[in-house]
Amino acid sequence: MKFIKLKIQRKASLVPPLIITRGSLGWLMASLALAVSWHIPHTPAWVLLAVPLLLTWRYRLFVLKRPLPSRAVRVALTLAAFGGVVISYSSYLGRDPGITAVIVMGSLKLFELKTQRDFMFIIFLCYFLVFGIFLYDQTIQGLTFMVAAVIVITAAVLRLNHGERQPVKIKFLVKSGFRFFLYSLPFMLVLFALFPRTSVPLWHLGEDSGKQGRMGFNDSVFPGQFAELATSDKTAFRVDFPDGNMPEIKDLYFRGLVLWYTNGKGWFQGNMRNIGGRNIAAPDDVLIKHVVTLEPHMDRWMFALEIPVIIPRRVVVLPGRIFQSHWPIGRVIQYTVDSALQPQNHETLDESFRRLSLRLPREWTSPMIDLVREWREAAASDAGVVRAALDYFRNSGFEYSLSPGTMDPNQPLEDFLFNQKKGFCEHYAAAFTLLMRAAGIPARMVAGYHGGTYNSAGGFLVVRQSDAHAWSEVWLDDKWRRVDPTSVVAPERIQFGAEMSRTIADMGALQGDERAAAAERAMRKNFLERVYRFFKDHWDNINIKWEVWIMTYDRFRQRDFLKSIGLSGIGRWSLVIVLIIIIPTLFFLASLLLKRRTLTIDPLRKQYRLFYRKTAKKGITPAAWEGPLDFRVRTVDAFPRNKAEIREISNLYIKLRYGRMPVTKKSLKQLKRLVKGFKVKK
Amino acid sequence: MSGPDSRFSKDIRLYTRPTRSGYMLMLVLIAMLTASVNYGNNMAYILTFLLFSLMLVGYMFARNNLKGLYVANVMPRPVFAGDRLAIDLELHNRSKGRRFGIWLGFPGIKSAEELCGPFAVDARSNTTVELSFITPLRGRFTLSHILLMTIYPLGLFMVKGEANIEKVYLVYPHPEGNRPWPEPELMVLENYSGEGNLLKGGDDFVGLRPYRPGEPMHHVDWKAVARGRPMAIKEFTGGGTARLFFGWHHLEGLTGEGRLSQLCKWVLEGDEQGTEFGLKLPDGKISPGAGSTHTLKCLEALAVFEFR
Repeated sequence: MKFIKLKIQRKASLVPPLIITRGSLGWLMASLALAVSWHIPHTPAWVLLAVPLLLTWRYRLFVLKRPLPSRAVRVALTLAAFGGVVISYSSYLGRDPGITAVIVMGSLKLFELKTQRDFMFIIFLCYFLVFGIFLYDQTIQGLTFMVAAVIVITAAVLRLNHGERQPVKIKFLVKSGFRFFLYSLPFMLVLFALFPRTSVPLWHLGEDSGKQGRMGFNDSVFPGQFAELATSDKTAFRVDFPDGNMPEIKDLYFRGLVLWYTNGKGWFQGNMRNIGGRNIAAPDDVLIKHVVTLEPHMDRWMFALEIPVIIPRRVVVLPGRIFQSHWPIGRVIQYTVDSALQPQNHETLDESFRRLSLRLPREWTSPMIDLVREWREAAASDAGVVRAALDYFRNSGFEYSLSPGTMDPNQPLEDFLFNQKKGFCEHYAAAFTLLMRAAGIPARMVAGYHGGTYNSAGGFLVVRQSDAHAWSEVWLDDKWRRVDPTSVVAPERIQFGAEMSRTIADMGALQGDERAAAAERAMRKNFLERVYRFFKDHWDNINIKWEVWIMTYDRFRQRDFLKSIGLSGIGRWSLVIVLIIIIPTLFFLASLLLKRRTLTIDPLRKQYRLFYRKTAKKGITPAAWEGPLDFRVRTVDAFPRNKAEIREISNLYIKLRYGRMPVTKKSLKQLKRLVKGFKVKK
Repeated sequence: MSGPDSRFSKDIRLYTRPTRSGYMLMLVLIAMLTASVNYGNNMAYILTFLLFSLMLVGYMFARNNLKGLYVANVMPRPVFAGDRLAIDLELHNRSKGRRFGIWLGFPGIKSAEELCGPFAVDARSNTTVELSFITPLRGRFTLSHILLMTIYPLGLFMVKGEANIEKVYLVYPHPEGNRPWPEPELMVLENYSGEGNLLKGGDDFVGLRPYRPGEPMHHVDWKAVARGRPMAIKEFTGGGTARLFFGWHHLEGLTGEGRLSQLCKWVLEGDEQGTEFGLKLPDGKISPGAGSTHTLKCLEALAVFEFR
């Protein structure tokens, strides 16, 4: 007799053959299409045309049961597509060409589906495309899309491995996909919170930054330049005042750039060195602590309430109490600044900077010089000249306007001052600063934001691009003092902020008291506006919480978080160890939780087993081959006095197990009662 | 204690290992994590960690897909070498969850093409499946295990288990050959008197001997059986008898397996024609007889025959 014991080959990779059905192919294509859809805005048109064509072609080949294109055709298509990508971008490196290449690769790989691995390869490309979203977008919307995409992609994988050749219900697949997502959430959250963060990039790829998505200021300010910003509703940054001491709107000047150089038309920042001076707080400063959550703008400016006296670490501090990031800001950052509202002796003016702040354009001839000479002669001091200049703006019919029209490109400031007399904040600031220099008063121009909208839902201030503002600073009494010429022309802009001033502007050209009355009226919003405001405030609030807790969760926030859960002072590597302990523990707990599901015994069988255990005690045990009918005969023979009970139990069990009688709670309960009441009588 | 449950295989021991797609995802995750760290991009971290978590959950569910699955009522039927051996078996799912994408195979299979499936088993129910493979060799084999395999749900992990079934099955030699039947043998009985035709005999009643299973029914002393006696064979003699034996020694010039194949063919032909025949092998003989039981006995002898 031969006994051949065949041994299992534990090492062999036995992935079942790929079963392509309408369902699995359809789900795969749907996943790919969904992942591609987010990238439509930055994908070349020919790719957007090619992808649906390729998908349709592939699907038709499947439906018509035609063979896939030959290897030669596939290679040719691939070469053509990648050539197209190189031509479209003249490069392979970078974000856009990378994403496009992945899209092309995924669509072409559909024509080479042979094994389960090929299928999964496309799935991973889909994941890469979803990953690519975050190179562009880090909003809640982006994350929502990601979750939806991951669920759909998971459903596609489930559909494949399900292996069923008949259609599988979409509802079942999506539900299962969602269930998998829910089960993985706890692991994901723990990893997210505890995975040690670094603040230094491993390498820096700057090729895309600075070209795209730039928003806000240049390093120069020319008249007319703010017009684009003025109509943009995009958030520039948000400000939290943790001590609850938010200043009034009129004092909310957020400085970002100080411009020292002028050519008579506009102002430039010029090249400045890091001068340091992180903390210059004077003893009697009233400090206003605020936390700025800055949106990415692809430049290095950072904004803070003036005058910033305690500046965050790891930034470049430039003359004029401004600071910058070392890198272009490509993601949301958050920093804390302490500011003083009243100028003290925070800054000094050494000889070279005095010269710089008095410097006029070379060989400058301008009617401004004559204007200033009059003021100089009439005024006793520098302060008098400043007052005279402001009076000039107030009383000479100047008008504040978002759309002042274009100025003479050769002499824009003169055109503004003497002819058009209609301008936006940068016109006033640029002209005023130049006038001050012409009068021999050290002056510099400051650009940033003023005002903002208070979000009552979250208790923070939202500063939008439309709040962009420019003003001027002059050296008076050994202090840099802010002078905002806009405030004399359009006091409501400074009093109520940009949004309100626009509302007032919409009411028509008004003067003096009428403006104030209009502002009053504008303050009283109607019901619809209030409802709109309510939802907008809450949405903004969700967004900022999102930005604070998710987007800007970095090394420092992680430290704060760890401190709050009692793990203060834990090092990076200890954190890794914590993770190595927590994740398997969670894993173990989860598998215990899921295991219960499979350990439940069939309740019917359980009752039947309880029954025959009772007879077994008296020596009657069902044989392996013995069904309940045969066993009933035997038990009745053995225990004739139990005849009625045995018959009742067996018949009910047989009916439930093999018959039409449905297993309900009631019938199960009846069986349970019978079995419980059964007692062998000898 | 033996109960109705003993027809189930014992709990299956499971082995889990990543599939190539699983390894591929690990590489993808390393790449994603590196990018996330480099850009300090928290959204990217979230996706990376989510995919990693999905992988962990996929591992658990892949194991659960096989865990608590039982194999029962395995019924192999004997076959001829070179034919497909079909095994009917039941997959019992005693848990609340449904199971999908289950593949079955015989231990030791080399390629995925030899897997049968995919099968699905509903919650608390069972599915009857047929598993078959080509049997190259004759003999008596023990099928100790059935291989169960799944990559459901995510295809990242392959879970394998062997269900212990310990079923013995027979593979008869492949019936082959076209040699004519051998001549029947003339047998001279020990008490032959020398009178009468040796071959013509069979009319003289000699006596009774106990019945042996497989013997032709028409020699049974039915009257005695009707009287309540044990079954007995009436022996007749005409002094000698012609008995047909398919013998190993009739097949000079063939290989051992070739002889067995020819013998197998003869046995099948004999069975088909209802002739009495016996079988002579080097290690013994089977007396002539007829009927299916006799045929099966002969076939089994051929299947398990071992060369010296």
